[in-house]
Amino acid sequence: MTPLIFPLLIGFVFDVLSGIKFGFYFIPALIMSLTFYFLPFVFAWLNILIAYLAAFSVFMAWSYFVAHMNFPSPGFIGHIALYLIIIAVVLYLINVLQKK
Amino acid sequence: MTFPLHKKQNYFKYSVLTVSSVALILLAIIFFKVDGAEAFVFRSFSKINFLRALTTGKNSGKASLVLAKISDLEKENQILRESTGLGGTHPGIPAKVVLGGGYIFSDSLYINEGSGSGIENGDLALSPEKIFVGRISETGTNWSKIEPFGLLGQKVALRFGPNKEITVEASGLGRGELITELPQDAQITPGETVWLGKNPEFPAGLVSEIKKVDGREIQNIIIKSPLPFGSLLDIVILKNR
Repeated sequence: MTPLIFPLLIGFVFDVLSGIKFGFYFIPALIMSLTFYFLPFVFAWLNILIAYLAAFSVFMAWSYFVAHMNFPSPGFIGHIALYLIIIAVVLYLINVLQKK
Repeated sequence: MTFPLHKKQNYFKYSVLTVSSVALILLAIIFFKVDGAEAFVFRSFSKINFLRALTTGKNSGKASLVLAKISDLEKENQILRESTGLGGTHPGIPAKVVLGGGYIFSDSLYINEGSGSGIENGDLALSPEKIFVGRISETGTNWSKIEPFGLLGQKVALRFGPNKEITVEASGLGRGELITELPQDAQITPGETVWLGKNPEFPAGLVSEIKKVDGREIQNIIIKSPLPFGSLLDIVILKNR
């Protein structure tokens, strides 16, 4: 479980540097890491996919409320998708390294 | 047999404790905006932002035309002011963007000038063509953070119309895009320039899309900044008047 600190550090960096505050990046990274860790499936990619979808849903709901009941722009959705892909790659690499 | 099981349980307990502690510390730094944390993170990450220079100049055709047109109007305005003895317009503090604006660090821009150059929170950030980029939200001695136009959740007053007579409040949708509502009888055309509400001498964006709402007497207007925030290099800071 300790290697889950790495995705949290990524979330922290994004949160500190972004214009939107109060854990907008950190909390979805935390949710994605914990979902990935506690999912029971054997295939890592399936766990990552479910964790990704969970974090993406949280992001979309949060963005909707932050943008005063409007969906964010396609560009911003692309940014969220890219951010979560970075977290997913880190989670996958941690999983591979732990198994070796 | 019991010893490894006991050891494994202890490992799990300690790792949960470690992750929770780290998460709490990081959250506390985020929530309480610990001094120095932002400067440290920004300095570390601006060093790896070498790709910015490579993407410069990749504006879309339409945006390039608008930028060229605005630049020409600025020059003409400058010549007219000088010839009538009104003096130059808006002397500003030039700065370079060192981080942000792209798809990774999206809704913030960091520049290499700060309180040491007289920059304060609330100052205006403009492109060299005098298009509104955003407002200064945080400053360090030699760095500042800009909240760009269209930041997610940002409320900003804008002006429409040939005489800038229509004033509305728009909400940021992220990455330089905003939405606002206008009555259906308001004559707005796609491609029309939108001006900043508080400083109407500066253009802020272009009307990108007009969506009629069925059964309601309003139309939703989507506004986009013509500036490519991801490859923007030069910024001019104007003191907030």
